[in-house]
Amino acid sequence: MGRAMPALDELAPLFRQVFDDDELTVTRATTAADVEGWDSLTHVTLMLAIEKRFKIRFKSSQVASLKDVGELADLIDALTRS
Amino acid sequence: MLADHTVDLGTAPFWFAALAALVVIVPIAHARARAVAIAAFDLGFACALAGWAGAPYVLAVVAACHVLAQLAARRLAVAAFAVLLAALFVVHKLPQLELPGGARGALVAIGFSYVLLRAIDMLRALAEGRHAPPALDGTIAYLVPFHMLAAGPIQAYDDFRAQPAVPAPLTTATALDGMERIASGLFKKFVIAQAIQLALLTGFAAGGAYALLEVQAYCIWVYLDFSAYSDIAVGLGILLGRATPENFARPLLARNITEFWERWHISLSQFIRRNLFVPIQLALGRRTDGAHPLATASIAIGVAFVACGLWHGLSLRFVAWGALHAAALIATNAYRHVLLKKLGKRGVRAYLARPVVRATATALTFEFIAFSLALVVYPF
Repeated sequence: MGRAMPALDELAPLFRQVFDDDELTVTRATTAADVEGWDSLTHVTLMLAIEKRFKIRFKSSQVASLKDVGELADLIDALTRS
Repeated sequence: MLADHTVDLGTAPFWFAALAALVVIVPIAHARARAVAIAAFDLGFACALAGWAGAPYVLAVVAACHVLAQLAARRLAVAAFAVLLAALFVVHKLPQLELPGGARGALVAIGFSYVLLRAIDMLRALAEGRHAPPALDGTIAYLVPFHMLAAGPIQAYDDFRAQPAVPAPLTTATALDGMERIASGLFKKFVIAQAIQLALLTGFAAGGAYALLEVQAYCIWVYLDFSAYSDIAVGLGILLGRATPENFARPLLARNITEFWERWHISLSQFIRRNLFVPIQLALGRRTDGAHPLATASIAIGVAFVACGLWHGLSLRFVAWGALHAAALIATNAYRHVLLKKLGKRGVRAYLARPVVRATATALTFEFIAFSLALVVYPF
């Protein structure tokens, strides 16, 4: 899944807003360990911001099981298409 | 956390069983035959532990969970059956209740506290349609894995279903890795933990100033003893080609309580996160439109950790222990929030990088862990 997707492009501004970091860049390989402040608390804040932006609704199991930004982008892509 | 270790790793039967599992299961390359062999072995081991009187109860629990799994996958009457399962847990945890002969022994022998959590994870995953209904051998291998009966870990059902039906052939390097983990666990449990127990622990009978030293020693002993079980489970998992999650990552060196729970009994922390914390925080966040993340996280933490305390034991002490940890987690979040407001991101980074800050935070975290643990076992 190396293709660039709209979801991934639109995620970067949300990440910058939630983690309060104007220089933050995200790629498909980015994980919570790569982003300062991305812990279990801010993770849900990020998910809520994404739900609002993309007008989608995650299942809590999806929120809890994401491994990296690539998986998140794929999930957003799948939910916005369905 | 204070697991009631019931599989005695110091006895020949456990190691004979482990050796038999290695000899019988590892060479099987046929996926179906392998799955059946693993399930037969796991169920046989659990029944043997429970004894003649307890074996029917083991079979009943596994059968009930399997029926529930089939119903959950079809979204039928899950809630009613889940309540029944939870009721069984409460009965199991209340020592004053009279249970039919063999039932309590059977539930203790199969580590029912862990079986319950696995059952919840399985039922939730199936009810959400994440997997097809399991075959009976799959239910058995997930619920009562012989190498994880004593003290977990609690494997996520998604991870269990994701593992290949037949693992990659065992190489010399992998075998050595597995044996090293087992040896490390044995050394921790039977040399270091044993020495601490013999030299320093009195069951808090000594009292006085010595109790303060014993609080420290007891905490280290619990870590060594508990993580030794996990080392052995992980090592056996590597040798048997059965995915077994890591459960500890130097937790006593954590610099705050949040980090501690990311490193201690990791599989339990992750269970709580995916089944309690995230669903609660997500639901509250949606209700409040994400306006009060700190408050919603605090409520989610409070509920999750009081439940965690009750899982460890249905007593006021465990409720207090859970509430204390919840309070510490909430305080840590609030402190970080205040630091960020006051110092900014770069300022916080520089502050946290100072060796004296790290050392102080690590020491305070250890003392909190040690004293909260003593609260549960101290003979007041």
